[in-house]
Amino acid sequence: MDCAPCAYGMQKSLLKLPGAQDVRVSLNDAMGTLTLAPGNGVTFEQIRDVVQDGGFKPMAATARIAGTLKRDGDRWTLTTQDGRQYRLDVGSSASDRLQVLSGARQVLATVQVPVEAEPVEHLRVEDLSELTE
Amino acid sequence: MCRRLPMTRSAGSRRSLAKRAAFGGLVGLWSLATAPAFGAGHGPAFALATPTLGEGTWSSDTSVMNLTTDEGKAYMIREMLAYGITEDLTASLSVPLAPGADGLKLDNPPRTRGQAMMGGFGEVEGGLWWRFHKQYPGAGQRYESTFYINASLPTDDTGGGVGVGPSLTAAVATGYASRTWYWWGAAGYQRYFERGDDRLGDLPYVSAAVGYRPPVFQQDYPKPDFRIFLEALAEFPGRDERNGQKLANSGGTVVLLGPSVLGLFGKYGIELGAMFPVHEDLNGDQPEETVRVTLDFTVWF
Repeated sequence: MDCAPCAYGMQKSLLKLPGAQDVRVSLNDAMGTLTLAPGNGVTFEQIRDVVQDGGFKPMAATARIAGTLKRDGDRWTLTTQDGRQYRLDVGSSASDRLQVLSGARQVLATVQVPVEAEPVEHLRVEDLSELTE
Repeated sequence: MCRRLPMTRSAGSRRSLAKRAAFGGLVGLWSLATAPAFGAGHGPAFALATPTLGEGTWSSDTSVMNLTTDEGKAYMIREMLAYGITEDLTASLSVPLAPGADGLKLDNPPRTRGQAMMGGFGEVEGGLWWRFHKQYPGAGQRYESTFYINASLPTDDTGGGVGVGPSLTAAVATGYASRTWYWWGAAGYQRYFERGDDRLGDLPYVSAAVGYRPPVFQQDYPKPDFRIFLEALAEFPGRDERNGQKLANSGGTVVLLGPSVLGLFGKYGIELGAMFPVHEDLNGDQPEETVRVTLDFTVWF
């Protein structure tokens, strides 16, 4: 992504996604930021397809996603409001936070998304916080 | 040069992001490593480049070109519409807006496509652009190669006194694009078919372009975006045939070199370019080209 029409095309395409509220594109950072409304129902795969159909290649993605935590043995799962479940890969720093927040009603997770996975099932946790209305 | 998306962000950045994330919403940060090509207005003015359009995207390129020889001036006004069938396959249609108009052409115009992306004088040209190779060495950088196939029909019966038939053009371009540097190299061949006993000589051509976006022009979107190019185009038209006889005063070699400037403003583009012959070796007695200038307007939608 190297010029204004590229950014314009990306912005226009992403804004067509259900629940898209805002799209910002930085050419200098080669990065786009998409803000979606609650209950949007959009999947990571849909976002990736829009990016690829525009002629771009997503190299990496970070998302902030709300949901509930569930523990099953040593496995952690995040269930989003629309019922999608993702297995969380947790580093040592986030592991302690998981323990603390496992009773929270809603958490906000900052995760790295494996952009080439089909489907996206695992998310790597960077940060966690309790979500309060 | 584009920077990679940092995998971790500062606490300040996280706070800012959290503030913008609605309850239950999702905010995605995507590092994007390549660009679609957005029609002729995206690249150099005269040389062939690799860009194709994004899927479902249209572009409109309106070009006014002046070509001056030591016998006078000719103007070519063209419109090219392009549509992205997929992100790697684009269809295009290029038409002259004032075909055959008095005062807009020379009696004996030089044999050229004018701009490598569009057709020649008086030709309606349709084509497909297939980006068959793409490679991304890093965020905001790409190597890619595109194959072009075009078919044209003449709107004038004759050109320079020779019957003009339909033609087929095949070309291939390869190159590199980034936020700072661009380069493309290309080669093409336009094959003319007979009209009666006449036939225009085929037109092989090669082109090259180097582009640079100085730091002062690297302001981020949606601010205006400028870049400069140095372009080279070499054309080797063959001898025309009239009544089955090759004409002595036709064909030869022209090599041109010149700068162009491209300004992009959101979905609009404007480009101004000029080329000057640095080598002309024309067969027999033909007018010599002194300069060609083009002004292009592009809209993406």
